[in-house]
Amino acid sequence: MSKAVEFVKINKHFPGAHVLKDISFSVEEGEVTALLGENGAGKSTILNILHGVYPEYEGDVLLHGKKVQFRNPNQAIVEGKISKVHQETLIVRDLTVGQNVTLGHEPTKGFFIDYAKMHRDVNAILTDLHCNFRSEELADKLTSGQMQMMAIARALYHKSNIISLDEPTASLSIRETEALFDVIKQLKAQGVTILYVSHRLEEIFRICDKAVIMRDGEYITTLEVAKTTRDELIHAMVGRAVSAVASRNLPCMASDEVVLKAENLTGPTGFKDVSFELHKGEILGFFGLVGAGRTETMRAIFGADMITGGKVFMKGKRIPTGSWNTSKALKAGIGLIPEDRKTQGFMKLSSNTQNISISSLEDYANAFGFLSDDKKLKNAEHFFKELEIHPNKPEYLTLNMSGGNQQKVILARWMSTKVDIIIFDEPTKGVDVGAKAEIYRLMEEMIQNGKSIIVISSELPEVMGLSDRIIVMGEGKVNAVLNRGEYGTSDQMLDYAIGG
Amino acid sequence: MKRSYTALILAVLAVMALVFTAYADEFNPDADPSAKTIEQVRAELGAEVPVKDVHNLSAIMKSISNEFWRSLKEGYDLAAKNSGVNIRVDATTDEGDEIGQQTMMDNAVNQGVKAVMASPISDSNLAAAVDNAKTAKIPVVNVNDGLIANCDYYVGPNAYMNGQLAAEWISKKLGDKGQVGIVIGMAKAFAARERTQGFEDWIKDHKSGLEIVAKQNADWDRQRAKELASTWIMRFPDMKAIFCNNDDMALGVVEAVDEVDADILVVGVDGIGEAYTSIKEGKLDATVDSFPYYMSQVAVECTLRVLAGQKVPHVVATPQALIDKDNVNKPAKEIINWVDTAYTK
Amino acid sequence: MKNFVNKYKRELVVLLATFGMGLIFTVMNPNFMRVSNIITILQQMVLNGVLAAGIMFAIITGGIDLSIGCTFAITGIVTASMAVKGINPWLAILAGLAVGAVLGAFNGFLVTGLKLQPFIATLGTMSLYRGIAYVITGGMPVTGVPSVYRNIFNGRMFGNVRWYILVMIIIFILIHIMLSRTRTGDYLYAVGDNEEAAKLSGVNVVKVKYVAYIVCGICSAAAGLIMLASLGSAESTAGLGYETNAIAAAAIGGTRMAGGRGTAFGTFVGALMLAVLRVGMVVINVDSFWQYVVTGIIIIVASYFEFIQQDIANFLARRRAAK
Repeated sequence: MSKAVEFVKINKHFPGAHVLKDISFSVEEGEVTALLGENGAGKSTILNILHGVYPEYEGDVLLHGKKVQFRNPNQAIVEGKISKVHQETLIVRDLTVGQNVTLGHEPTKGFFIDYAKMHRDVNAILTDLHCNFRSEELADKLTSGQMQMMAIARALYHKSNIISLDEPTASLSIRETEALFDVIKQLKAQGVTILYVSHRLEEIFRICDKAVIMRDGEYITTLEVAKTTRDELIHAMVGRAVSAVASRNLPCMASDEVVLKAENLTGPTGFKDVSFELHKGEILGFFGLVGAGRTETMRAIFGADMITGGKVFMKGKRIPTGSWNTSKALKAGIGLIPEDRKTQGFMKLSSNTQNISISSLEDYANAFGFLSDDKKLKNAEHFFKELEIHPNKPEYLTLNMSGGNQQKVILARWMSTKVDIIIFDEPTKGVDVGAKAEIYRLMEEMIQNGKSIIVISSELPEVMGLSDRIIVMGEGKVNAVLNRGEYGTSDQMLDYAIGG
Repeated sequence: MKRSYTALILAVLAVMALVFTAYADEFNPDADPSAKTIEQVRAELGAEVPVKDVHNLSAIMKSISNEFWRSLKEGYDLAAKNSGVNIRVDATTDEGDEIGQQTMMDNAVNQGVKAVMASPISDSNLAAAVDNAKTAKIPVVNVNDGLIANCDYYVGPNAYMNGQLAAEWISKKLGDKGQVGIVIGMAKAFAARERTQGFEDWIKDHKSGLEIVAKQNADWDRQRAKELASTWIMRFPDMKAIFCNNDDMALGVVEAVDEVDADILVVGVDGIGEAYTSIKEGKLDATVDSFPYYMSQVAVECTLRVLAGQKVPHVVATPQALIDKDNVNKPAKEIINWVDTAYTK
Repeated sequence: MKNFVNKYKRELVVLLATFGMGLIFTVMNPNFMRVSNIITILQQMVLNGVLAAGIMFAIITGGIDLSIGCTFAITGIVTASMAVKGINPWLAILAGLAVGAVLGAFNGFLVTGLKLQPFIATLGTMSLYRGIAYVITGGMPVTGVPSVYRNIFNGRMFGNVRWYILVMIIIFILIHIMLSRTRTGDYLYAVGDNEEAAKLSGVNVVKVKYVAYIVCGICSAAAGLIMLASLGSAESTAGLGYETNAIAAAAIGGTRMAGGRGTAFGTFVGALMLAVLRVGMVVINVDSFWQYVVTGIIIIVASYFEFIQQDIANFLARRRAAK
């Protein structure tokens, strides 16, 4: 077997940070190689170097034994035959699937695009991948799983023999994930080399041959997945033993006091007649499939979306749903940590300090009522220490932090406020094992301090491990309310979610 | 790669085509040797203007947010009353609506008016509409400012003469020596160009001792003209006079001059009401008035002469006069010796 | 000091470039650096500066206000009519500012209440407000503003400097404090940076946008009041096209057109640069046609500073790391 990709002494600097340190490793041709490490380990950076996103770095990249240095991703695709299927797939929603797949390299006939040939070629690839959508359809209509497939089709259209997948299953349903794995096996059989980045260890064990471990910008080791245990893998990644499974260390703290109560809540974004109660000190889990209306319900309660029917009570007091907004929700003591950090979580041009302080500005005023940068910084420094946010740089842009640390910054934002009800929407999506465990620990700490938590999660082990009670939603309605001890198996949970 | 070269070549060709058409047939009424004043026209063709059957005429103007165009409209209204002809006056809502004005003119032609008096926004926006009118055998008279090259008749003041009058007056007041500045208004360049040229040529042709030390654009904007003048006053302490392409800018310059109590003559063009007030108050020194109120009356007279089959010259110059504190209180009619048009049924 | 340099890197680069430009003009004509000429430059940056300060608020929230030139004209007319009638000038000023606030609030309503795109909404009010200006004046200018009113702004303080320069500086200081030291300031940046994230952080986005457009209206009104004092008359056609210069000043000063970034200091420097350029070109007698060309090039180059600055930062980071 020969080496498809070889990295030799790669170093990369960002302003004020040395993010890759002397990285050297290689990837065998025709294998599925996992790239593992905590957030901030440098996985995305090394992939970006390979794919020409960062044209400037020190060291050599060898492709099939030949030295290359791509100036941009397009060159990498066309000349290097290497493609990247991105975490958040980039698509143009108003174009057809065929146009998206061939974007920038459309088949032409004279001056004009040859649409017949485009759709013929693309449909052939889609058929190969067993996709259930066609080249002529609008990309806008696709589910996230189908979009992922479209991105793979794009790689195959360019005859790529090396494909990287960066968190490909993050927003996929269970069935879509299975379909993706089938495709990966098929590509492997065709001799395509695959680089696979994911935080979900089960996936690594199912489809990967090798696992390259990185930590803090350094290469640690390469493991043969078949000969490695789960704990060994985690230990190599984190550098210490961590329990990656969501579990409760503390007993149930819930009291009888109801802090939040919804009655027949209905809204135009997709939830109907939703009723539930949240007790003080409780972790209440919301499980369901993608599109079950969990996020929509919580956004409405938080004042981000409209409520058209039903009642909401907070600590016994009815809230005015007609004039409800997020600013009032914050004052009433309720906070929300959204699912998609990049588009909903943090301000992209703002420092960590700013992102932490934005919801609690009144606390940083001096005697004259003017805000003090020092006070904001002091607060941020406190949380950087308490939550072990890495790197310990409150002045950095949150945008440049890794996923898990971004999540901690947003957590710090709400911990700076006086809210006592916090809604976590997919709190560990795209978060590495180490940070995951820390977030679970923090949630427990919160309920210990008398706060109440709602967790929306699509990961069954997480929601079952954490929650005192679970509400299962499906198609905008509450399908089941389960107390701890009544959860049953994963299959039973899925039955409820589908509409038991 | 090949495709982008083709696109580039096409783009270059398109730009060149535009440039060449822009320079095609330029029309300058000020330089027309056959131009006659209205008095000369009356002497040649007889004072009486025959009005056969009741006509429908159309007048197409620019925005009446400007005083000049309001006066022009009043002149049209008076001429309509005196002649018994029906004149419909259309004006665009803003001075940039070139297509809207074209639509107005096409509408008038389609409704079968007997003749159109048009004051176009630009030199080109009514060219196609004039062709339509010609096809429909409807005569078009171009009234002032925007110049339509393919029009048979032009009625308006001689903009070149505006500048000459101003230069002559300044020369007389200063004993023909001293530094002067010109504030030009740039967009819609014809009037600005001719007024400036007339001013400069007078100085050159008369071997005058006046010296033009500065010439800058203020976009017809009062505030910008004021700022420009403030800078000049600092830069040229010996500047003795400033000629502005219109009154709006002149009134801004007056403010700058007053602020430092400088001894500088300020002359504008147009003769708007505010300029008259300012002259009476002893602030503005002079303006060259082209009497839009009478200009439109001349336009109607010429149009009716054309409809009666008379041979009206290609360019008819309308009255203009320099107004300063000596004649500011005299009625306009007296200043330009205006005689009302005599219409006969 | 180091903090200040770090925070205002871009603004300082533009300021340096402005000084550089001033030096070039001085070499070409030594009169340029005379105190009287520098006062002229400051005077000539006032209107554009105040308008730019206002439009910056709309831009920071990710919007734009194309109607500032029209608000400017209406305010002038309203205040002029009151001043001519002999109403107390301070009352007239207050009324003018109130008009600006109301017109700004209407823009805010269109953007938040009707959820129109700011560009389209203010394109509409640009025509609407201009129309109102024509209707209330019938197209006639309002003249004869008494000197009691004019002297408030146009009078001189020490060293022949006019009061309105001080007014502008006070406006910029107030805006600086508002943007950097108040909750509203932080909220403005947050909303422009990532509206959804700001909303989900408990920021009242609707209120913040109202504030932005109202401040923009008030600044336009303040500029209108200064113009009125400076010219002594108000016209319905005043301020045509002024929004483009204001946008240019804000952009040169580092205001991000997509929102989320922009400082009072930067916009001040941007307006200063444009004034230096304008006065300088008049002083060295650059042909009017070429002034447009030069101004355009300067706007483009100044806006490019941002990228150059990023390159320099990257370069320094590498150098430091290499050591």
